[in-house]
Amino acid sequence: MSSARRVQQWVTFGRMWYLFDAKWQNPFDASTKIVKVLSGSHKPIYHNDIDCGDHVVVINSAQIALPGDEWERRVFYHHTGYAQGASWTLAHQVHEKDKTMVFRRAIYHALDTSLLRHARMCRLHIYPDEEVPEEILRNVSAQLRQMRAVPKRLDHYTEDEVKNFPKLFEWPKDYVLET
Amino acid sequence: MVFIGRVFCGIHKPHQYMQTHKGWRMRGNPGKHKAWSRRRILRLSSHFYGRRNNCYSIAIKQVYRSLNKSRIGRKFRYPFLTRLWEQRLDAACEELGYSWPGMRVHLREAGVALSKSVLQNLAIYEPRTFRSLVSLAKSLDPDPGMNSLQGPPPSIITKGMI
Repeated sequence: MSSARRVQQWVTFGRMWYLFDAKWQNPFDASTKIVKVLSGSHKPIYHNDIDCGDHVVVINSAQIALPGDEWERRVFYHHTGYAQGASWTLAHQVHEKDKTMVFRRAIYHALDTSLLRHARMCRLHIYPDEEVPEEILRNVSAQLRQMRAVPKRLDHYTEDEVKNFPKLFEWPKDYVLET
Repeated sequence: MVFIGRVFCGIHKPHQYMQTHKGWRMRGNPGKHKAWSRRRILRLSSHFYGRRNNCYSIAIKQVYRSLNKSRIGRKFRYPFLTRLWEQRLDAACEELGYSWPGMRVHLREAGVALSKSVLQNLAIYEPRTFRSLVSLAKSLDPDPGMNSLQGPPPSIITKGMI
């Protein structure tokens, strides 16, 4: 085997497609992970001038979770370009308008301000629910792990599961619980 | 030496010549022609765009400008490259479940004197060599945790044991 073929690597410049489930995820935390994949800095061939990033398909962006009261406090700035064209919109109002916008803006701000920023944004595919077009979904070959576990609410458990949940003791029947 | 014929034709003028103890010679340095010194500058500007490529009076300004910029850039070259190599080695180590700071410490312990530049070249062009170096560093790590080569240490209870 020649020395040129010995180091031949076929898929070095191939583009991977990753799936990320945004359900109950903080988009500003998740952006650190997704930006790394979009800009290609998770590969040893990384250089800030070459376009070696991978695709990320984000699903369930309608179910993102912002920490604390950020839905009420975080504002999104837009300027039309004309005089007095500035506007500030609350996060929950933006989310009502477009279920992918809050996530997209979080990634956009986390990306480097370079000439490749828009090319990297083009590799981000965000869908508000689990309905992804077939031609996108058939490219996906890997998954990005969620940053935090999705909590299960009490009303998501079946009645049997609640009844059979192991208990250390039973409350006395005449005990008045503080509500 | 005077070329009388050329003097008569008006190509060489008598006032351009001076007498020395060795005889007549041309004033100034007759071996140096303007075209050659210009050529030296135009070779440096050959890759520029537009008239600054070929027109001397425009090219000379751009050549001084670009030489000055390359002098300034020399200062930032190695900080940039060091950062780039570290980013690449971070990525290469994380692919193999290890970290670059850990690898750096334990390669030094093992006496492997490879620079960052060489290591990142190995990570790109010879990934199997790089993997073996990562395994060497991992094996010297006293607390490799869950990512050790021999599996988790016995004090750790994992899901499969219960």
